[in-house]
Amino acid sequence: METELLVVGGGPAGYTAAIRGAQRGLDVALVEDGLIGGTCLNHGCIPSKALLSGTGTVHEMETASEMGIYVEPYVDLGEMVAWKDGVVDRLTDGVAALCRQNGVELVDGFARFVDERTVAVDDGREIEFENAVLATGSRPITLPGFGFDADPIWDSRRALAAERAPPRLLVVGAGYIGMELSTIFARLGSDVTVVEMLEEPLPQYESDLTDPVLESVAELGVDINFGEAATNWHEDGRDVVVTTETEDGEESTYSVDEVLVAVGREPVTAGLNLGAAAVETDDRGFVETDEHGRTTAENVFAVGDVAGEPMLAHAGMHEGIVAAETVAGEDPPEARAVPAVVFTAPEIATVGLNPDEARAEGIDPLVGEFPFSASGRAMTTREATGFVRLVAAGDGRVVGGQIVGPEASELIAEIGLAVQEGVTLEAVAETIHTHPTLSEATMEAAEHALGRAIHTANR
Amino acid sequence: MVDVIRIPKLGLSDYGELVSWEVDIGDTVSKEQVVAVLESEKASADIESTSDGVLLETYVETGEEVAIEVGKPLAVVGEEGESVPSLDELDETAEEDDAQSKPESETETAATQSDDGQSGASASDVKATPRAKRRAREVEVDLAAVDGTGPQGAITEDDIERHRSENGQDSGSTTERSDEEVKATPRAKRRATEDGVELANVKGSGPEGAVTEDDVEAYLESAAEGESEAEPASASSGDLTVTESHELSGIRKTIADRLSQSAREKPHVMGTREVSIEQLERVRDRLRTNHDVDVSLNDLLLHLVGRVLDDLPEFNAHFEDGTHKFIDEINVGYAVDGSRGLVVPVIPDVLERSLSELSEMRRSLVQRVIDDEFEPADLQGGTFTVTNVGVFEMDVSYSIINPPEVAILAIGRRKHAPVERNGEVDFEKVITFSLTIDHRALDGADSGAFLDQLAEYVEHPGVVLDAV
Ligand SMILES: Cc1cc2nc3c(=O)[nH]c(=O)nc-3n(C[C@H](O)[C@H](O)[C@H](O)COP(=O)(O)OP(=O)(O)OC[C@H]3O[C@@H](n4cnc5c(N)ncnc54)[C@H](O)[C@@H]3O)c2cc1C
Repeated sequence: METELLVVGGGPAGYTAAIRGAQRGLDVALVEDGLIGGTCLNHGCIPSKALLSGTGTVHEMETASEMGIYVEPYVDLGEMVAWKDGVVDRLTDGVAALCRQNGVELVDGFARFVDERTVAVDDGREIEFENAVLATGSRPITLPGFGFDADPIWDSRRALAAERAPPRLLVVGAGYIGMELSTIFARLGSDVTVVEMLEEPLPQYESDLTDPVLESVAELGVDINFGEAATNWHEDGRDVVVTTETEDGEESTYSVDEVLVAVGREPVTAGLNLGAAAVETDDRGFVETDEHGRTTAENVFAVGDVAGEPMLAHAGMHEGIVAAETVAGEDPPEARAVPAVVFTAPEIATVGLNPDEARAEGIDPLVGEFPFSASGRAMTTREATGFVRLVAAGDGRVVGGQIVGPEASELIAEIGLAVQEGVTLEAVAETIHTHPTLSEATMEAAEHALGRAIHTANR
Repeated sequence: MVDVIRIPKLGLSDYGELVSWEVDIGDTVSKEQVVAVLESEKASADIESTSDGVLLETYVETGEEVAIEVGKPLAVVGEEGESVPSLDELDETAEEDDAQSKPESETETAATQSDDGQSGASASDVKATPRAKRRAREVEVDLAAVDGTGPQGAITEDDIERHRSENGQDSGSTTERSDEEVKATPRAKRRATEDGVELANVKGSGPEGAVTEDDVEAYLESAAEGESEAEPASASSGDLTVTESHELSGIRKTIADRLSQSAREKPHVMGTREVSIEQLERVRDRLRTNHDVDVSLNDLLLHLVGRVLDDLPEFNAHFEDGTHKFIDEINVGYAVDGSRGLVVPVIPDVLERSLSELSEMRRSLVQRVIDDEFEPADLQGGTFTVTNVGVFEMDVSYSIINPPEVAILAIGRRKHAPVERNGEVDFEKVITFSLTIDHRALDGADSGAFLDQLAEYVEHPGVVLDAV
């Protein structure tokens, strides 16, 4: 078999590259060893968001008495997980259909490089390619001694398929996956304890963004212990006993039913035989690429998680498009900013630069903020925590934004557009936003940066 | 040392069947050898021996349905002839093990407070709402011990509170159902309107005691059963002219509910006996004139009833959960026709009071009821009830027992009746006592004994009342 563009891996980065390649007239084959849709559709973004919204409904019901609604939901987690699986199935079927409709040839199997122009699929077939896009994604990192093959040690994938909420769950790691899953299980009534080696959660975010999240998980009863690293575990009767250690060597133990290890993800390159294609990786195993996704091999590109940070589905999709268009000889779009979201309650969403990063780049930033506590719409949804912050350069062009609060994941898109297109604070402020909505907060933040906010005090 | 083979963590559903024993009692087994196969709806699992030895005993039979609870004992392996623990003994040691295995670290915090220790049922197997799970943890209630009334039989927060109050734990947050407004879910309201159900008649099992759609349905079903059993020809007042109607509410409704429940559940049997009160009236008069003790006949009767209850403790009792519970305190309820209907204030420890104290207490209770100034506490703790129907000019009354008591005594009116003494017929003042008993706890013979004893005391009060 021969193809112009071979894509290895059918996650969001890979299938996007394949479809865009085909749209640009290339003859494309996509090799996928597991399920089309990759981590994102099958064990990541979609299932976790499905369970967050399912358990969000539970939480809403439980707190609805504030509005005079009395309900006490009972959750059959097995049924909720089955519902989630239904959502996932519809999406993966949809992606497979899109691939076929665009003329992408789907190949089922595990690909391995034979040389710079050939891969062997584990069913014995060989595929010769002119260009290849590597999109093999990532997988969860295990802690030494915490192999995922042991029954009570869960990775995120296993947690998202759990049919029962464990009475006591220990989550190792307070990154976004740990925080999202802690939220899910706490809402299901599990007694959730988190241990985190660092002194703060979600280390890539400023503390004014993470504080509201910390408060809300604490309200759910999640207990987070910072500065503790999980070192080992053993079974003691029906208990799983996990030992942690602080930097000073102080030990603690936790008796729980299950342990979720969410300490990060590593690239999937094992068995690919990258050497045969002269593709090099960095010291953490990620494939090295330039801004177009080109690896050390001229005709091989790498996109998505396997090419390193940011390990996010939408980043991977964009990279897939860039790589495919580059292969097709076009001028690919440039991403000026990649939004990132934590789907806790409240959500955290960021794009572009925060004030400190702007300063580090030599910008004297114009900063405006609007708190949701001043938003009528936020109050009517009982989620009036957090704020929208806009960061602009001296000439008024928006260079970044940070949101913590209701629907931050949706609201960030407007700021993303502003950053991408160099929209000014003036333009944002002058755009009429619907009232009453959460999106007004972005307009108000722009006005605040300009010193003329109506609904919040100006500095 | 014998080794117990228990159900390991399997990931099977709650119930399953022990499909087969792969080895027989007396067979030699080796560690990790499959000894039995468990099967649930979805999957089956092999149960392996945990050590080398001889299979000494099995606790579950082939084909038996078992709750698949982690740690549940299935069999014992040991050396030939070793003695085998009973299931009860195993339960105990399991609890001890549990207690010992708790690590003694400062930071174990909330992580160890889960409640699956005692029963052997893993708490994750118990259906409960998230709120209930949290509450159970907070107040350290074992979920496995609570009955669930929620959706899918799940345990709700209310169930936990009920469980706590039943077990004498302070509950604090149970909500009393107010009768003025009926709490009901929107679905229940829609359903009630559709089916013409009066929501006030439906008992709510939902959050905050709200009537749910299920409750309405259950009500409709029970109403349908009731009708088909005995529907009188003109069951409804539909064609008639209603001049006044009162929906039962408040205390009246409580009385209605409790008494109809009592009448429904307790097999009532009544016995009567006419007793001369000539002597007792004389005693009352003597107390007044010689001892300056102002007591009424009622007070004396209450005291004598207390005596009988002391003699026959099976009457001073409650019947609950299939148990006839004899009670030490003799607290006699005294039915009063108050402004809001029948109320039964209780005179606690009747026998520990002097006659004048008893009298004073009864009078003030009666007054409080009439003035509508009594407190709920005045009505609590009764162990037996006396009702004076004589005030309504009745001779006898088939009274309904005040639950959970086991009997009620009605005192009829005073009247003259022919009494035969030594072949002579004379008119004497008599009262007819009617005693209704709960036939589950007491029999006709008990009834006879009670009335006999009471007659003895009433007709010969000197036996029990000194200094008269
Ligand atoms: C719990 C969780 C929640 C997440 N939530 C979000 C979120 O909300 N938003 C977000 O943006 N991101 C989220 N992510 C991250 C997101 O899932 C990843 O960034 C994204 O899936 C990366 O896409 P990818 O295409 O690079 O790789 P993947 O999605 O990992 O796909 C790689 C595919 O390649 C296949 N493959 C690997 N090797 C071979 C081979 N040799 N031959 C053939 N096939 C191969 C794999 O089977 C897999 O299907 C989440 C991740 C997790 C784990």
